[in-house]
Amino acid sequence: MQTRRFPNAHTIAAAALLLAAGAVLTNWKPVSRAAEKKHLAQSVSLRKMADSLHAVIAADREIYAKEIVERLARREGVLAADAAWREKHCLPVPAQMLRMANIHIQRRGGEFSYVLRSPWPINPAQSPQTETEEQALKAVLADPDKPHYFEEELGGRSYFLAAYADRATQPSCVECHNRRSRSPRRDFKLGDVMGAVIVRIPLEF
Amino acid sequence: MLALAAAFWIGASARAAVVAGAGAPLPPIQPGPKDGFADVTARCGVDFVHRFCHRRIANILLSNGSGGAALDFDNDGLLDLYLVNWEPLKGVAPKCPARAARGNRLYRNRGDGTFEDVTARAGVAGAGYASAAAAADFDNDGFTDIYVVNIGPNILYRNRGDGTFEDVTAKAGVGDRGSGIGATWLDIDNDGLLDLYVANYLTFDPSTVSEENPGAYPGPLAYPGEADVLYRNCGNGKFEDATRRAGVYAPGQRAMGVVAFDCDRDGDADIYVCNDDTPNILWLNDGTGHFQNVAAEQGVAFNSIGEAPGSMNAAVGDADGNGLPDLYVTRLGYGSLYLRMPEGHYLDAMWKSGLGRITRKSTAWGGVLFDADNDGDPDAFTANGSAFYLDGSLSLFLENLGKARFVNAADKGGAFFRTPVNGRGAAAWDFNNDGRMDLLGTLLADRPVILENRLPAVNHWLKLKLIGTRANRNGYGALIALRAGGRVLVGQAHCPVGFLTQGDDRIHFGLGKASKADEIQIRWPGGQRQVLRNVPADQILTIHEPR
Repeated sequence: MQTRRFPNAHTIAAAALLLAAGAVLTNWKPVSRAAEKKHLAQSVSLRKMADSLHAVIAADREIYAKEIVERLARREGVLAADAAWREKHCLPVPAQMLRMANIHIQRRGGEFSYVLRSPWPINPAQSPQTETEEQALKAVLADPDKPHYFEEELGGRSYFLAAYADRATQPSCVECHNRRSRSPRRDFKLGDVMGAVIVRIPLEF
Repeated sequence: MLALAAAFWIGASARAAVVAGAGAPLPPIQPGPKDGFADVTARCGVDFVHRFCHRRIANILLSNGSGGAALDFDNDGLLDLYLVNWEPLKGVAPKCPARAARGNRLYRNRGDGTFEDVTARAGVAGAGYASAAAAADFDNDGFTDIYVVNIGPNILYRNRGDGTFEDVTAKAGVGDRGSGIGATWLDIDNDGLLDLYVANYLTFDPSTVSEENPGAYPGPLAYPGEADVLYRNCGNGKFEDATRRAGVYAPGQRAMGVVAFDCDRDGDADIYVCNDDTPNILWLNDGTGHFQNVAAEQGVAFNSIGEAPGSMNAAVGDADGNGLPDLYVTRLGYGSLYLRMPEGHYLDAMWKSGLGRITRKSTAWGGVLFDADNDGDPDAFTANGSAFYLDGSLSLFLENLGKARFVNAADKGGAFFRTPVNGRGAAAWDFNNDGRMDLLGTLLADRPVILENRLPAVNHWLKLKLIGTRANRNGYGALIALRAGGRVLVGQAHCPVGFLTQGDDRIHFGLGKASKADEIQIRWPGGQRQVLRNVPADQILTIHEPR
């Protein structure tokens, strides 16, 4: 029952909307008055698409961390958040929410993906998994205030990749990462960069 | 050196031109004296050529190619070879010149390093746009039968035991008409009868165009996916469609490969399905032949970067030596090396294993885990090729240094691994029974390659051919734990199908320096246990299940 509520509908809907908008723009046949507007966009750039997807992801992530986990788990103590949320009948932690939303997008045939990466992951699967992810993480840590863009080839498939800083926006983020015995780093402070959100768009289908 | 490089470059360019015209097949590749694998296809007399009457890969179905199966159809202890081919298919593949009309082919292994074409006598030329074949003894009469998977109606050939086959598709009720791309034999309920899982791809529509790039053919998500089919063997020569009852009805998938193995070692056959741009499926068997998809929970639905790109093939083997079955999934996109953990889930070690870096540029189709050097850990072979161009790619021979750490061993492999080809199917088989696993690759628009293993024979080996009596005659589902030289190696009898192609179903163990197996424990499907002790190495041992 709980799992049905957790898929992040906002992320999925917004991403679908964004893709649909891209498709509409790509196929737009200017008519009447619009035909006179030579400046109308004909397509969406990869950077803008990735930035927009990230805006949705980051907004959802922040809202979940602030309004659900921070409020219900930390401030009001109504329901805990824990990585073993199924077994303990409580809330998934924000990193799990992000992963679950991506899985649901993949199941819907979304032709982009995103992951959370960190040099200090509690879950080892969230350490960098490609050479470009390693580079991206280094770039984000060195300059977290801007997005970083790359291209990479994996298994013969070309991708556009964008990396964005992922910060500890709530006290609950800091407390959890500093408390967990499996956490490789336990001196996080509010506002610290904890890793990166990586958005990947395939360039061939 | 420069001249050599130039010659190689010119050779590669010329090859690309030849293939692009779907003209002359790949000439024999001359092996060097120290090459670990030698192209012996011409010497073997296997003259099959994949029929491809286009100048380019013009649509998604044309990108896939065709495969075949290694099988011993005449019970002489030697693996024969069945290769399937394409016939014209409306909207996909046009009619070819008469010289190209060669159909499916059955090559009998003479045992002297050569094969003879016995297709006509055997009656297995087939009909249709064939993708793959899966061979096993479905009626437990002691002779291996063949299932041909087509884009269109599939065919079941029953082996009469006299060198001929009969088409029993209609009688058996297994002529699924979907866009078949693979199949595997397995016993879903341990009743001693092999059932059949058929993997279907997508419903092709030639009028579909690419939204992303009108010049390119549309990707898999542009077409509706098709549901796979599970046939349950009734034991009277007939099968029933058990897809829904077994819980494996899943429309909207786009299967490219299927393999059955016991992932949790609980004594029943589970099923892993590779899908194209759709999450992969792990059907977990509850022991009664009823399945549930646990791929996401167990960590094998997506790759380590959180996406579900085109998965072609899953090879089963114990890559890290912990006794549990791992999966090597090849993809157009980032592949996966899913290592089975004792806790009951998988971890994707694609990056940690070194495979991520090595395979960065390669679109991999077929892939096998096999012990090339008999040192006790599985190495890998992947058949690579572009999905869009007939320009050739290098195949990969990947050596396992132990504990699932892989390096590119192209230098050890030899000339073939420096020759660009349009690889598709991949299988491991010991066609000359010398205890060194040979390779088979099928190529798009080209001849196949039979690669004889010539790596130094410095290690011992043991090969088991299981014959079930209460269990299915192939013994598929049996679990073998072999103790030798202080190590325990675990293997499993199963139908060794990969993308389009089936390999040697005998269970091969590389024993390293151990000259005998101290103990072999077999758990047959159904639970019966058998123990053999002090078994000398370097032999092919036939083991009958105790009655």
